[in-house]
Amino acid sequence: MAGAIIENMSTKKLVIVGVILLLFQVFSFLVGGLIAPSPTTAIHYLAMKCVDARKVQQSKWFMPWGPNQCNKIRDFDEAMVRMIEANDIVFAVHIPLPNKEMSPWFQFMLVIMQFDIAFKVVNQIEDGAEVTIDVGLAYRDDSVSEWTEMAHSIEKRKLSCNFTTSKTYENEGRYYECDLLPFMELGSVAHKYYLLNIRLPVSERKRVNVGIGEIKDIRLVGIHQNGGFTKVWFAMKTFLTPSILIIMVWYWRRITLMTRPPVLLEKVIFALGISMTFINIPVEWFSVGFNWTWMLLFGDIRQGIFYAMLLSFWIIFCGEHLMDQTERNRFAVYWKQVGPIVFGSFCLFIFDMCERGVQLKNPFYSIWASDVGTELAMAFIIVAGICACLYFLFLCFMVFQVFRNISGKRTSLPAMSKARRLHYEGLIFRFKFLMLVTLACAAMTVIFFIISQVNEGHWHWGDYTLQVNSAFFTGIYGMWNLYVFAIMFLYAPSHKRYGDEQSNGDLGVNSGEDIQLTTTITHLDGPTEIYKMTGKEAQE
Amino acid sequence: MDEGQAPWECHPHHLTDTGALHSCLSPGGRGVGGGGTAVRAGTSPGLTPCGGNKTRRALSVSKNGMASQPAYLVLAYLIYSSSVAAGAQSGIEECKHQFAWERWNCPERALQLSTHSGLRSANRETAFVHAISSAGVMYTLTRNCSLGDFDNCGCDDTRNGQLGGQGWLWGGCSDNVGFGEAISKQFVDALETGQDARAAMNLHNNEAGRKAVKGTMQRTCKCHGVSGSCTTQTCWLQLPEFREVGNYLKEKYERALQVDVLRGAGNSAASRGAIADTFSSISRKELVHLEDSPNYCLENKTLGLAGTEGRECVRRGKGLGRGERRSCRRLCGDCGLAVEERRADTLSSCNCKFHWCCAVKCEQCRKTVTKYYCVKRQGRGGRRRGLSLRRKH
Repeated sequence: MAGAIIENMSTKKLVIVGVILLLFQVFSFLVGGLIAPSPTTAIHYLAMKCVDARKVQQSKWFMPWGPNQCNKIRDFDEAMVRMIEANDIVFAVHIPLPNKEMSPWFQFMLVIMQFDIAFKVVNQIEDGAEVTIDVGLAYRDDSVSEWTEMAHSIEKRKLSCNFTTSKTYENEGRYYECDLLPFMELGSVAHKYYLLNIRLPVSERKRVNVGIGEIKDIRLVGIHQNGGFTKVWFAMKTFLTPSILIIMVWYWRRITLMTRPPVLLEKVIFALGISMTFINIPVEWFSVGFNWTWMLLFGDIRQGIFYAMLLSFWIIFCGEHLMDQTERNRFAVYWKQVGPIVFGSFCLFIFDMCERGVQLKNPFYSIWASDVGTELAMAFIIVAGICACLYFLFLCFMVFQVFRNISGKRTSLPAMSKARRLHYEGLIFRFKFLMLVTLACAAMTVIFFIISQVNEGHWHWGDYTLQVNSAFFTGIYGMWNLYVFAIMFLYAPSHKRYGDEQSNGDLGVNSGEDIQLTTTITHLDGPTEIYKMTGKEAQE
Repeated sequence: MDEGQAPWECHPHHLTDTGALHSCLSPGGRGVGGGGTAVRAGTSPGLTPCGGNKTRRALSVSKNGMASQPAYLVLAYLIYSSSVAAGAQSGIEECKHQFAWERWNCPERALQLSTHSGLRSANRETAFVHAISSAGVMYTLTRNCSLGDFDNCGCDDTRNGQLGGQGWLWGGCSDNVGFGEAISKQFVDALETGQDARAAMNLHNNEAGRKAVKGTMQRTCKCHGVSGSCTTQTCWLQLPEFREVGNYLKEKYERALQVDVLRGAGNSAASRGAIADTFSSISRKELVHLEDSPNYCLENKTLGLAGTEGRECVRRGKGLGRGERRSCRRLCGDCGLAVEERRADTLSSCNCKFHWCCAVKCEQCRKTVTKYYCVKRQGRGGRRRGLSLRRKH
């Protein structure tokens, strides 16, 4: 008997397994919701306006506060009075704020820029205005040593600002509403202190920084992952890795113990396990000790591989249960459906390389800053979107076919013997059940995604504060892990055939009813009973 | 120093809340500029009566009026006081802007009314001044936090133990706004020492000012998940420009609620309870006042009002704002004054070339500007009409 565990397991045991998995699911939500802080923190920085009084200051870096702070001005009216030129003004931002220090636990840091531009009737922002930013980033690891340059670049950003009130003299001095500008992205936070020096050089001749209105302030928002969330996340990964690894080894052992070679579905399930383990392995621990800036990109790639694998698995899972006459069990049959996944993932990979890959070299790079880059990025994303639509059309069609064939099979059930009929009915129920679980998982992901998007971030529940966003991350991550775990467990070949050599009886089928049912089935090689039904129909 | 003694005693001559906030904390009177002297002045309050007294008042909220303050609290006070002063100043500037074309135009004098309880006004305008001042203080403190002016914005070091320690690493610090709100509360509310209805009104309006800052903050989000998707997004509250707060409070001013509290009920515990009940039943976002506004058309020396005579107004121009429209009618006509047209030749800059900062290259142009002023009407009829008018709300 080569049936899968899901067929041979009694409903009672299935329920027990379900309840245990559900408990773990709730646990993974609670870990994020109650223990972890919110996933990320945003910190506001207002750039200090320093005066580059040439030759007076020795250091080329300008500190906004603390010892050796720069010669600063509070506003530009003061600069006007003191006859300071725009080219002599340096916007200085120290990350983090006083008395804090950054930590590798923060994992990444991205900085968003926003200009406060005052409206003036005679000095408005021109259409399609572009700011040219001369920016330098430096770091140091103690509060006394010299700053070390990390990156320096001259960047262009498009200003997209609109003035919501009427453009009258009365409203002079009010600010434009400007879109957030991507400014900087660091893939690791290896140093304690960072310093940004921003200049907006003006050149009338080259039309640089002309017609950008009257800039009053530069605001930055620094976003990093919270250390507490990182720790909880790492702990979760460290816990999940061995659990998936163990079930994977157990699963493969089951398959190799069989006399026949593994079928496609079994291989795909194993590949799913591998990609899950790949994403689970907590290599991020190294980022705490080493300055590995590519970790962010690597994380994206790992996630991409897993998603691609999961989507492929669904297609193949449906295909292998499609009860039609086609000869399957070969990967080549599915190229049409898997193709869009691979192509879409590839597009996203290229896009990611263009954005985060280049950022490894120049943290200020943004693909959205230039026209060509924006078009290219949009092209990649649109192609990926089309692939996703195509994929979901295929998937929905296949699911529809499977259900149609199952209901078709149902009509022929009364002609079968009683035990056999009961068994088939149970099978169909369980497959539908698994299908439903998949749908439920997907729905849960979507629902929690929406909740975390519209929600303020945390719910108060008496004395407890539930961090919704963290719960979303840990819960959904735990959910897909449990999903993969359950699939590997339930689709592993039943050990019943090997008789007494198996010791883990709790996984097996010992009840008399099950024996009676399974022995009535004709022996056909295949992972599941539905598979056999397919085979039978194909023969007819 | 007992509860009854207000910080007013340090400046007996200009004695309002915001006035006192100014005179005690304004750049002229502060001792905050240099580090060393400031600390010394703070630790021995007797030397600078203003700073010392206020420190105690400001901090006694949490410390139950202990005889001597811990040095770090005094130091904290000195750190914030220049920001508080600047904040109050920005509040007053905003008030002037909001009321530039109203009969009451937020004059400096009005901010320094006597605080002898009988004479202190408790009208709609007082309510606005209180709200905008406390909003300004909160706004400036929050803003200066982001500049790195203070050591412990958002992170309560005393609770987390070490400086920037475990709390910061684990879950980040709370928003700067919370910090601004708390400090603003400590400073501005501490100026209110009485326990009568007037004090309750001022405290309520201070709170309304702070709520206005919070209420006008904008939520902004940034997506930064895989490939920039929205699987991870971070949201934060962003301070609006202060004009937004001003506009918001102006609207609240127009819909301010009048509270009737029985006068002369004494300072008994029962009446205090009644006052507290009355004010707590009103939304903390609303401005409240006790008295009707006086007639601002007329000069009133006892109340320190200048009247609208001689004020400038705007008429017939392109792109007039909401406040400027019909300002001549409001300021002059309705007050029984005539509008006088005065022409003047002025030199002004034109055809300017701007840089984003500082450098402006302009030509000088000669322009004839027409301005309008409120003047006394010729003849008796107008005068009488003006007297009979009352300000309506």
